[in-house]
Amino acid sequence: MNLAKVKNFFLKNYPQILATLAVAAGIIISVNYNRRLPRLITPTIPYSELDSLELRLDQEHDQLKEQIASINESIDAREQLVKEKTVSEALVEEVESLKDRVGLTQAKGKGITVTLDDADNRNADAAQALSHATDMRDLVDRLWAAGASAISIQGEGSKEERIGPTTSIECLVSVVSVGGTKMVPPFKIRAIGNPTALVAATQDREALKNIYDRVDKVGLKFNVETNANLTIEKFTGNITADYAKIK
Amino acid sequence: MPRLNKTFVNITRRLIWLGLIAALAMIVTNQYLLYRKYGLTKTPSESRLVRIADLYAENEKLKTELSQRESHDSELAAAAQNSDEVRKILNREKERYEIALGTTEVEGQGVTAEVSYTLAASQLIDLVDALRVSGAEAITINGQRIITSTPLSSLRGQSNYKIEVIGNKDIIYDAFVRPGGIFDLIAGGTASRQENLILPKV
Repeated sequence: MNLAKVKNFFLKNYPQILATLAVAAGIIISVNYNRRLPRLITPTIPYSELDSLELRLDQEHDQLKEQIASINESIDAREQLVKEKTVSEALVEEVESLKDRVGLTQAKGKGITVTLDDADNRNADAAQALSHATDMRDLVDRLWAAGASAISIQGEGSKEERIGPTTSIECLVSVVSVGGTKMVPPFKIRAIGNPTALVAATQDREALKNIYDRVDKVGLKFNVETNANLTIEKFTGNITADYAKIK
Repeated sequence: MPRLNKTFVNITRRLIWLGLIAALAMIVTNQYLLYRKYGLTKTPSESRLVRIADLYAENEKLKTELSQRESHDSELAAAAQNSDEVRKILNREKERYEIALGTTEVEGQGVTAEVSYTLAASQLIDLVDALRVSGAEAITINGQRIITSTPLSSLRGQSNYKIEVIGNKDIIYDAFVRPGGIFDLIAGGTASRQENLILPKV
C-alpha cells in the first residue's frame, strides 16, 4: 500500500472517518468526565440502602417487642415469687389489678370483631376507597364509648396490637402504624365488652358518617360479627412516666 | 470565490453533524456509566423517609421501655428477699400504672394550649393521637383527664378548649406549633410551655 493509496482512501472516506473520530472523542470525554464525578448532583442515599434500613428497623421493632414481652413474663414470675415470700401481698394484688386494667394482661370475654377493608375498586378514588387510620381512630373511640374493656387492631399478616395508654394510630402514607407496628388491610378491630352495645356503636351512622358514606358510595368494606369467646393479647408498648409524678 | 463558499458551507454542515454525533455519544456514554455506577437511582420519596423516621422514633421509645423493664426485673431479682426493697419497687410500678390509668392527681412539666374553635369529635381524636405520638404522659381537655378509654366524642361541640399536657415540654410545644403540627393541621390556637402543671384524676 503506497502513500498515494492511503491518501486516496482518506479523501474518499473522510466523512466516515471523522464521524468515527467524533464518536470516539465523545466516549473519551464522557469517561473522563465521569471519573471526576464521585457523587450525584443530589447526594441522596441510594434506594437499596433505604430498603435495607427500613427492613432492619422493622426487624429491630419486632425484636424489641418480643424482648419486652419476654422481660414482662420474667417480671410477672418474680412478682409472683415476691407475693409468696414477702409481706406485701396486698400491694402485689393491687399492682396485679392495675396491670390488668392498664392492659398488661391477656383479656378474654364476649365481644365483637370489626373487619375494615379497602373497596374492590381501589383505583377509583383512593381517599374514598381505602381504609384509613382515621377510620380506626373513630371506630376505637366509639367502642370505648360503648364500654369496651379491651380493644386491639390487627392488619393482614401482622401481629395484633392491643390499644394501650400510649398507642397511636397513624397513617404512614401506604400503611397504617398502630403502636409502631405497620399494618395493611384488611384490618380486624376486636373489642371485648357487651356485644349488643358494641354492635350498636358500630351501627351509629352519625358518629361513623365518614365510614358509612364510603361504604354506600364506593363499597368500602365494613363488617361486624359477634364473638362468644374473644381473646386479646396484652399490651406490649411502652408505659412511661418520666415527667408525670403523682402529686 | 463561489467554489470557496461552497466548500466552506459543506465543511460547516459536516462539522455540525460531527458535533451532534459527538454530543449524542457523550450523552449515551454518560447515562450508561451513571446507570452502572448507581443503578436506577432517584430521590427517595418523602413517604419512605416518613416511615423510616417513625420506625426509628418508635424503636427508640421501645429501647427506653426495654431498658426500664430490664432494670426493674434485675431489681426484683436482687430484692426478692428484702421486703422493704420489694415494697419500694412495687410502689414505683403502681405509680406508673396509676398515672396511665388517671386514678391520681399528677404533676410535671408540660404545655398548656388554648383553642377557640368548636371542634368535631374527629378533630379531638386526631389531637389526642398527635399528643400521644409526641410522648404525652397525662392529658386534660377542659379539665377532664383523658385516658386510653376516654371517648373523645363526648367533648365535641364546645366553643373553647383548654388542653393541658404533661410530658417533655419542648417536644410537646413543638408538636403544637411547628408547620404541619396540631395548630396547622387540626385547629389554630396558642400554646405555652409550663414548668409544673397539676392535672386532676379521672
